[in-house]
Amino acid sequence: MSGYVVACYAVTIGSLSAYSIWAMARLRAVNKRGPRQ
Amino acid sequence: MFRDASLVAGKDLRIERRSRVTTQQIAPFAVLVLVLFAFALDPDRGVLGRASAGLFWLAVVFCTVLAVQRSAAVEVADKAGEGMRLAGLEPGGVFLGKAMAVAAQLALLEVLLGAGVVVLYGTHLHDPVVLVATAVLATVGLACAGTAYAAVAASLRVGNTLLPLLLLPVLAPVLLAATRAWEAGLAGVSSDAISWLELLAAFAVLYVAVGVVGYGTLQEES
Amino acid sequence: MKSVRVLGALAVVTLTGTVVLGLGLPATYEQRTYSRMLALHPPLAWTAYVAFGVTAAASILYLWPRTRRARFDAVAAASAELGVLFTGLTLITGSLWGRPTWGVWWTWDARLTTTALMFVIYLGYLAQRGLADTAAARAKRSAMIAVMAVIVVPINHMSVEWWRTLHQGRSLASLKPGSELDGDFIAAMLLGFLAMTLTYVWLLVMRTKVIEAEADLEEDALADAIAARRQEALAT
Repeated sequence: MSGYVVACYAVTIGSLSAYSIWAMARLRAVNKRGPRQ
Repeated sequence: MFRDASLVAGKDLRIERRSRVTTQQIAPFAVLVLVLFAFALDPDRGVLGRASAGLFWLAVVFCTVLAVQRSAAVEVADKAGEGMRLAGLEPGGVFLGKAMAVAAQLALLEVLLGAGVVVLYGTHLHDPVVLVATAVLATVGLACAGTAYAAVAASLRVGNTLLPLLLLPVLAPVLLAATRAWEAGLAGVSSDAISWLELLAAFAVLYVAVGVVGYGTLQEES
Repeated sequence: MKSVRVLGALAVVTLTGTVVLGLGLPATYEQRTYSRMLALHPPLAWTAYVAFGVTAAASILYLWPRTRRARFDAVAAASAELGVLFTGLTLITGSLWGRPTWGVWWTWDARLTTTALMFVIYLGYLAQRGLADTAAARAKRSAMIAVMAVIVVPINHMSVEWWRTLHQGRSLASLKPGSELDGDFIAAMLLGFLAMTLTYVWLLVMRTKVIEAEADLEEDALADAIAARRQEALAT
């Protein structure tokens, strides 16, 4: 398999995963501080 | 609305006549840009002549940023913009007036830059019809888009740094189309210019509409 | 929230499916092994368009006085961020495809140029959101910019029609049976479109929630600080 193809898939899936993990982590952190009143 | 527009245009041009910002600051800057291009591109190798259309329009675009920044700053100083709003002037008319004043200043700068390009780069101005038609359409688009974005950026403290970042990408299509149209005109292949002129016309119509409709909302903010 | 989890699961599943199908594609004669990348690249580009369209729509809703709600500003911001991400990925995957196929990492043809332009324009949008300002002022200003900026999306899409260009024509519109691109390829690419769209929606929901939650936290923190100062003043 060509290196370009591998890089293509890796970058795409990698960044999407990283972004979603980051978003989920931030959501968790914010919810932990809890809504007030 | 058009009466408000001409009132505002007259006001802006009168301010310009008294403060002479365009003639004393922007015009010299325009010539300076042309000279700097000559430093950057080796004049002996004929690049300047071939690239003169693009360099001309690039200089015009830079001048647009300065001109609209100045135009918007006039409204922020002493809250003059709010004064106009309170006086009951229609925001769409104010926008048109300011854009027209900017367009007038740009037109003068283009004449100056045109002379500069002929003298400094040795360009021969073939087919003035195409060149002038391009200039008219492009100037309207530049003035309207610039006035709209400058109103947005003017109320910010760092607006002066932000405006180029926001405005230049938006003006890039005008730069592209105007350059291609001019290249076609200068090369004598005027028919090629037609589609570019259409693009310039569409851009101009679009930003006239956006500005007239949206300027009111922008004014509410600053 | 359960529906968000379901959405997320769907997104992951379709994305995985795309990868599997995409990497399993047979090499076509014309584009050899590199056609595999086309299960990702057009879907990424399409999703970027959608994202910026959503930003513009949310901005219009925000600007219209009757529908003005902070949520729409949050959606606009989140969608713009995702749009920049997907555009960046479009450019990168496009480059990775272009290098073996055309021999260059980059070329100034109409499609690439307008895509790069789109990227920079929305980068500017994100930049101006970072400026210190009241939430309402920033929201209104951002909304105006987003509505003006979205014009670049149709320009980008039509650029391959309007200018003779190196880039392929609008792929789906020019598909013919029996051409290099049919059968398995279409399946992979369509799944890719679905996967990217689902992923975008899921990420949009999460990112919007993060923005709103952080805005609430800021308000609460501010209220607390004010209350604390008041206590101090009363105590002395």
